[in-house]
Amino acid sequence: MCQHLYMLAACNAYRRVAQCEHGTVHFTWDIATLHLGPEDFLTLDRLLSQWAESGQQQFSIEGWGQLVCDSRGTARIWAGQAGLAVVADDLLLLRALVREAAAALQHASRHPTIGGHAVLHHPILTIDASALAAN
Amino acid sequence: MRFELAPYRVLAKNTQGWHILHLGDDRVQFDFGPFAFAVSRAGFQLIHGLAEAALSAPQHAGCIAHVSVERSVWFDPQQMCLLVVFDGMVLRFRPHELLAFTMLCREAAGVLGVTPGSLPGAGTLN
Repeated sequence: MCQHLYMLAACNAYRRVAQCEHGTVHFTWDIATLHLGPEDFLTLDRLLSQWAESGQQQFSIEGWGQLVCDSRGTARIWAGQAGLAVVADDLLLLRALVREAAAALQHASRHPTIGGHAVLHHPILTIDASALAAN
Repeated sequence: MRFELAPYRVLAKNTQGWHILHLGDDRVQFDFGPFAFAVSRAGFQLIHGLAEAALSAPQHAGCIAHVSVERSVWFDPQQMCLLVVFDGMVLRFRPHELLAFTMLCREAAGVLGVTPGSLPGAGTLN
């Protein structure tokens, strides 16, 4: 089980991308978290970028994931047995978050010694039950 | 920046490697390995209630259990799969996996000392 997270990018406490001490990328979007290997996370970034460039309503990377968009712009991103429903406005935020984290991940892989390791007490990662009551 | 994860305890686990965790902030996390989601204690009770209702419902096409559109269980006979929808998150189960999921919920509920949430008795989403 993971003990430490190194933040790669964050919109807020509930929408963030971090990497644990095992190298796994923890991509949290509201209540859901995808646990992906670094290469798989970069594939997710590629899926989102290629879908945006294609202009298609449905886009998939064989054997990995699929993105399906309805007429209102709501997207469902499938990765294995799990899917995330994301409305059009949020999809732009999600793409930007993934892009920023992917860039940070690639930068970190090229410069493995760079990166502050100061421990911070982030509200979502420490006990703050009152802030989460709305779930 | 490095962050410390809050403490948690394992409420239930099965041979498929699925876990239900009680997080330090009192949320309950369903952890399927590559995918996880965390909800409040009340959210856990609703998901457990949905799973129990879906398990005992006749498996016809369409919605087989619901609290609302955003919190519902659907059966697709063509794909032979169940879709559990909860606040923008969708889980796709094969029928036998729903039983495993429900068993896991029962075990976790027992440890937490909570009962499955009750669903509205009337109305249909089909």
